[in-house]
Amino acid sequence: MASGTIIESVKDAIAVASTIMESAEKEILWLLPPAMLVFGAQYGLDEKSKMLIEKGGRVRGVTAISGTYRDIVRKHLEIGEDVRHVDQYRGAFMLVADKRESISSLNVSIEDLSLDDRVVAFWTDDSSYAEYLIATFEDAWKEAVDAKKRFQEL
Amino acid sequence: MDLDTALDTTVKKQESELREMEARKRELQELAKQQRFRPSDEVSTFKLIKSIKEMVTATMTLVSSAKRGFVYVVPAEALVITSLFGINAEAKKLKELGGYAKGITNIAYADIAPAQEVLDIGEDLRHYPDYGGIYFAVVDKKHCVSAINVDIKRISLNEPISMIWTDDSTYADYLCSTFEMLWEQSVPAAERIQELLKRGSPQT
Repeated sequence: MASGTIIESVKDAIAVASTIMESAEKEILWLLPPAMLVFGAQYGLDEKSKMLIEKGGRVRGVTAISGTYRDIVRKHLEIGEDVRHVDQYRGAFMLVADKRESISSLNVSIEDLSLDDRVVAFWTDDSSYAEYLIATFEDAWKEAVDAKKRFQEL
Repeated sequence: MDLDTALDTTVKKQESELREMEARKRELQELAKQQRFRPSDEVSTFKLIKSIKEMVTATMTLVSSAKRGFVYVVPAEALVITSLFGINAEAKKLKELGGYAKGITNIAYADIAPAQEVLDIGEDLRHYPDYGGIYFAVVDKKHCVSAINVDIKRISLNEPISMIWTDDSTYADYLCSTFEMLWEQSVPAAERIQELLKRGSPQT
């Protein structure tokens, strides 16, 4: 099982996500509350994603797209990410790179998430834990709808 | 303040935040490096639990062998299972021996009886409204079971579920930290039960 580091704030989670994204060579998967995308953009995480895609990597993401978050999701699509929308997701949130390094959380408040909030997340490079997260991601991916289709609904 | 000054202030603030984030990144990388290379003679194992029957067996074994106590975050249906299959009886023995038992669930009107039973045996139970995260339990701050997919449609031993069991102490620390955060955000079950009773059955 996974040995790793426990992260206890939204800001630290973003710092870790940034580190993971910098080290990614092939693929990033993310399943995040939409507010995290806003914070990520604030700290340049979308730039890291763009760099990976320009090098031939792939980025897939799942989030809950509402009118409030339409623009931020559109930016992710513009840099070449594949993004899907999921309704009322209940489960772990995560960012996984190259089927190995990950940061995930068992419970993140989807509404009213702020940069100063406390979250508890787990950062590990254990590939068996990544496998477990990827299985969860793929289930959500299958259930989710294409972001562009969601835009039309909105 | 004119527009240029306002823009300048915003840019400076963002630059300062980015510098702060880079510094924090380096600190966290250093921390992770130290933790990953920390020598450990512990060997951790994990296995998958695929049905309520396996979950009951694993939970029964863990609770009956608990030395200090356990914490859990479960759907309210699980309280019916712990009652039916003797897990509450084992928890009661642990409480009588001075152990701790703390739980969090989402209590609706239909869950009052099983929640009250858990309170009656001395467990500390709290209500967390509309919990949308992963369910889990940690025994003696070491043995953990956490859900991959638990959607209990009927209380039957053959009902399929997907859970992971491990004795990794780092993972247990992570689950315990998550539990403490949820505990702070939840309310005592007794308070919630009183509130539901006052409101009455939603069907009447």
